[in-house]
Order: sequence, then structure tokens, then C-alpha cells
Amino acid sequence: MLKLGRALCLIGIIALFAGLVAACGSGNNAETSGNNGSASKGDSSTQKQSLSILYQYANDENKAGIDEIINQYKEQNPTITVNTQGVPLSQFYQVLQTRVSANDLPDVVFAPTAIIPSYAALGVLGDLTPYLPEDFFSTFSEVRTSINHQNGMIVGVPIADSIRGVIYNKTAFDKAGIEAPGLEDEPWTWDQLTEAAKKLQEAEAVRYGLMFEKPSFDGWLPFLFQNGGALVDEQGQPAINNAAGVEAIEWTVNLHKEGIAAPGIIEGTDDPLRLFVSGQVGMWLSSGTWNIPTLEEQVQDFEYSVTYMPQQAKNTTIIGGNDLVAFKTQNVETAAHFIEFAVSPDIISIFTNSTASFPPRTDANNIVNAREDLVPIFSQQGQFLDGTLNDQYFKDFYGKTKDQMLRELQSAVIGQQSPQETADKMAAIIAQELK
Amino acid sequence: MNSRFNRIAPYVFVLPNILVVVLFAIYPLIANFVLSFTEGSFEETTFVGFDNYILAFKDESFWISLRNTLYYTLLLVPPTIVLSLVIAVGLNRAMPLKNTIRAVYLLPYLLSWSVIGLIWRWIYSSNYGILNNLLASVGLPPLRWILDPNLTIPSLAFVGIWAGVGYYMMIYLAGLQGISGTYYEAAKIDGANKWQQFIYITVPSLRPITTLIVILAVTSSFRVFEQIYVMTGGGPGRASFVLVLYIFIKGFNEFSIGYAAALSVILFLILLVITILQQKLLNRDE
Repeated sequence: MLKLGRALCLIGIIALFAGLVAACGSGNNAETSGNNGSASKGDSSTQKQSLSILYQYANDENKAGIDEIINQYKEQNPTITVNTQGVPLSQFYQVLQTRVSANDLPDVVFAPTAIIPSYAALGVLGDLTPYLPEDFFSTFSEVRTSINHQNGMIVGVPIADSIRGVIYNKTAFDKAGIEAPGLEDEPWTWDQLTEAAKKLQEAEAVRYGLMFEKPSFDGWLPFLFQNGGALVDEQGQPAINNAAGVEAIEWTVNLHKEGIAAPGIIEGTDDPLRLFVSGQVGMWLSSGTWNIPTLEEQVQDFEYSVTYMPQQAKNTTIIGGNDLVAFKTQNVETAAHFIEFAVSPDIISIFTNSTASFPPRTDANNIVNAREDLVPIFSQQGQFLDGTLNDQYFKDFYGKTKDQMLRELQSAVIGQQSPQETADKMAAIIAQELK
Repeated sequence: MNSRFNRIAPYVFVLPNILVVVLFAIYPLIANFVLSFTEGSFEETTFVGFDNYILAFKDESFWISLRNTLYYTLLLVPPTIVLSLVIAVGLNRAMPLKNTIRAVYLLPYLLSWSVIGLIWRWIYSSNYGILNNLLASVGLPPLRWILDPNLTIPSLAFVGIWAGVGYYMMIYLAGLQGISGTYYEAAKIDGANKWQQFIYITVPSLRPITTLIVILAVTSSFRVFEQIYVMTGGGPGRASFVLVLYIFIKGFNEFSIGYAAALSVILFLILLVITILQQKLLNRDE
């Protein structure tokens, strides 16, 4: 009996061991097929192709839009096996980084535009140039598509434009007797914006007159450009610590010191959406089209609207959005095929309608917006672009340094260092990266 | 045949575990060590010798993150040990709902750090947090709990204490069960009061447990990551920038894989030294 027991235990142990080895082996095979997007090893058929898509979504509507595009592509291309992985935006960066680290590259990614330079610098993006028609970008903005050209290759295609503005609590504005600039008006200057914010607080319409977008240097960058500042000068040397840059930082710090700007937003310890929806803040600076669907769902107790970003020395902003980015797998041609389909004039609106964003091509059809009344302001705001400055936003050095620069900005806002010191540290960070 | 089976069988039984340990602990450890001497992208790496280690010692962010980690550890470990012991002693008696109360103390430990981080981020919020509301209700001014760089680490350490006390309390409870009652009876006969019994019987008897808890608490606090990532992201500025977060940023945000590997080797060595010192100090009399 004891011998039988021992034998059974031994068999069980060996079976467990064999199972472990088999599991590791099948895991490796799955990674390989996901990596190159092709059919499983040993399959000699070239008719059966596969495509691996990673996408991020901001809400259910966004997800449904992307799923609709993918489903339509599958219906029209039954010989292509499409594998998808959809993750919420909050997890997207980590998931993508993890897959790249593990060399498990997707073929196509629905990605925020700003990631392109970083991944291009890593050498993991695919070259779509041989597979796209020569006049492919003829109906796209040249400024907008500049980021899609990296290292002499076309690495992606825009699928949506995100435009920043100032989303404001209209009910609070009415209570305080303030009228925000309309379509035909000039944007407020910084002083006018600050005055309006103070007036909102004095009228006890809100707790804080304004808040910045979120803990993101992207959200703060337009203000640097508006004040005539820049990340680098014409010679490509750091310029953020010139007078205009220091002034922009000082303005930001003073708004917090005087209690006009809500604390915890730039610093990353509070949720800006929660603050705005609860009616505690009068104006949400540098917010944009991507927040409209969520605000439509969550804002219950007041009316909101949109006005232009403020201007100072310049009337400018930055433009971003979403792109379909190809990664360097064995499946770039199929990726190009999918990308052409997804950004075609009849299909692109499925994505832009689901994200309340703007199509990056002028010949898109069937555009519907959650708030049609806000489209003209956003559309007009999208024209306020300084190509040279916007180009800096898309540069690889910016992608690699913006988190460090954000920490310096946070240190200034909490009073740990002066605006000049902050600007000098930011310049040093850029210089180190450019070296 | 039987004796040969008896010789082989133990190795066969432990083989799967050994394989798992080798694959998921030892191999990554060695691979990480090798990686720490390289730099580069995913396409190719270059051997750079000790450059990454030299860079670490010149890196201001590394020293800031190490300082913050040490500060967090100093604020977390002693109160955790004292509180765990006091609560365990308090619950080591016959009382109504004893098991329920023990379970309540243990509950925070069962939550994931991400959930804990989210909950306490709301509690600590300068704008809508319940803690400031409570302060306001008794006429006290609000505090910028995780926003004030002087309060960020203490606020985070408090959360660590809140989450960990239950777990260490359970370990102490197990230790208290192992102390013979005859010692207390004898002490009582000799005229020792409760406090003297605690100091001269309970604490010395729990020395091995305390050594274990100190090691666990210190290594856990040095590895703090999720709660800080969720609550502050290392900010504001670099007020809560800790070592593991810095390693994560270097490795997965900036793709400086070799440098991140070097930092994790440094972290490993720091923990090794601390653990050895702790064992020597705490077991000195034995």
C-alpha cells in the first residue's frame, strides 16, 4: 500500500513537472506568434494572415467605436485573423511598455500621438512608406502629420485631432455675471482670465476660479508658448529658461499661491474631473474635446461650455490626438492595409464620433459630435497653431524629458524652488537629453 | 530497488519547486546582475562595465529617492512593531468578539495596495477629503496632507502602518500563544505587576518574532511602490520619490534598462546589509 502511494506521488510529481514545462513551451509559442503577427510556426499557407491590434479607450463609447471599426474590417477581410487587446487609457502606457519590454510587439496600436517620438527613438516602429499611396496625406494637415514622419519613415497615420480649450462652468459664470469669449471674440489675455477667475470666487460661485488640466506637462506647455517661450531656440539649444519661460512658470505659481488655482491638480494628488463635475472649479484650462463625452454623462447640476485658450504674447496652442501606429513586426503590410481602412473618409468618423474629437482629414464623412454647439469654437481653436512650436512638442527629446520637467514644475508650485531655478533645471534636463 | 527509490524520491519531490525558484527567482536575479553592466535599447545592448553604478552615485535623483525611502522606513517600522505588539497583547485574552476584532484589524492587509492608495488619496484630498472635513468640523484648519512636501512621507507612512499592523499583529499573536503561562504565574507569585511581566517575560520571549517582523517590515518598506504610484506618483515634485519608483521610471518610462538593473542591484545590496545587521543586533544576546 505504501509502495503504491509512493509510486502515485512520484507519477503525480512527474506529471506536474511535465505540465510546467509544456506550459512554458506553449507560452513561448504564443509570444512568438503575437510578436510577428503571422500564422503559427510550420504553417506553409500564405493566404491566412493575422493582425495584432492594441488599443486604448477613454470610455465605453470610445471602445465601442474602435470595436466597430475592427469588426467591419474583419467582415471585409475574412482571411485575416485579427487579435485585439483593448485597455483603458489609464493602463495603456504600462501595457504597451510591458509588451515592448517583452518583445511582444503588436502590429498596430491606437495610440495617443505623443508616444510616437519615444517609440521611434527605440527603433520599434514599422515603416509604412512602401505600402501607402504617395498622395496619402494630401487631405491631412502638414503640421499634424509631421510627427508621423520619423527617421525617414512613415510610422503612423492620424485618426483623430484633440483640441484644447477652456471648459467652464456656465452656471457659475452667469451667477458671477461673467461672459466668456464667444466665437467672434478675441481670446482672453492671462490678466483677463485671472480677473474672471477671481470674480467667480468673490461671487462664491465656485471654490476655485480655475484649475490646470492634470499632472501633465503637455497640459501646461501651451502657456509657455502663449507667453512667447519655447523649449528650444532656433539653434536647437534649450530656451525654456529665458524671460518668457520664467514668466510663464511664475504666473502658474502665483495662481496657486493666491488660491485661485485648485491645488493638487498639477501636483497629481487630486482628480480634476471630480473637482469640475462637483462644481468646485470655474474653469478647466487646457482641457479639451476628449473630455466632452465624459462631461456629458457626469455633469448633472450645472451647464458647461467652452471658450478659447487664453493668449498672451501669442495666440497659440498645441494639437494632439490619436494615431494608428505601426510597430516593427513581420506584418507591416497588413498593418498598412488596416490603417488605410480605418482612416478612410467613411470609416474615420466612427472613431472621431466616439471620442468627440475632430477628423484630421478634410474629406471625412458622417461626422457627429456630442455637443454640436461646441464644434465651431473647438474648430476655430484648432487653427491657432504655431507650426514651429508645435513641432517641438512632437520631438523625441520632449517625450523623454517632459515627466522630469513636470516634477520641476510641481516643485515650483509647492514652493520648494523659485520659478527661475525651476526654469534653469528644466533647461538642464533638456540639455542633458540633447547631448 | 527500494533503497534506490528512497534515495532518489526526495529530489524528485522537490524538483518542481527548485525549477520554479530557479526560473522565477535565481535566473532573473543573475540576468538582472548581468544587465546592470550594459546599456542600450531593445535592439542592442553595449557592455559598459561599472558605468551605471558610477552614474548612480552621481545621480541626485538616486540619492533623493534613497533618502525618501530611508525616511519612510524610519517612520513606518518602529510604530508598526509597537502597535502590532500592543494590539496583539490586548487581543490575547478571552473577550467577546475576539475573533471578529482580530479579523477587522487584518482586513486592510487583505486589500490590494492600489485600492488602498485610491482610498487614502480620497481621504487625504485637499479639496474634498474626509480628513480635512473632520478637521473643519472641530474648528481646525485643513492640512495639505500629501501636497505639503513636509507631510507627504509621514502621510504615506501612516497608510503603510494602517495597512500592515494587522498582519504583524497576527504574527505576534502566534508568538504569544507559544509563551508558557507558568512564567506569568511564577512572576505573579514573585510580585511582578502586569507591566513588569510584559517587559521581563513577554518582550524577551518574543525576540525571535520581533527579529522576523523587523526584517519583514524593513524589506517591505524599502520595496514600497504601488501605494506611492497611485497616491502621489512620487510627487509633488520629488517629495515622495522612492527607490523602487525610480527604478520603475528608469526602466519602463525611460527605457534605461541597464541603469534600472544597476539600481535594483544596489537596492538588493542595501537590503542584504540591513538584514545581516538586523540579525546580528537583534540576536546578539542569544
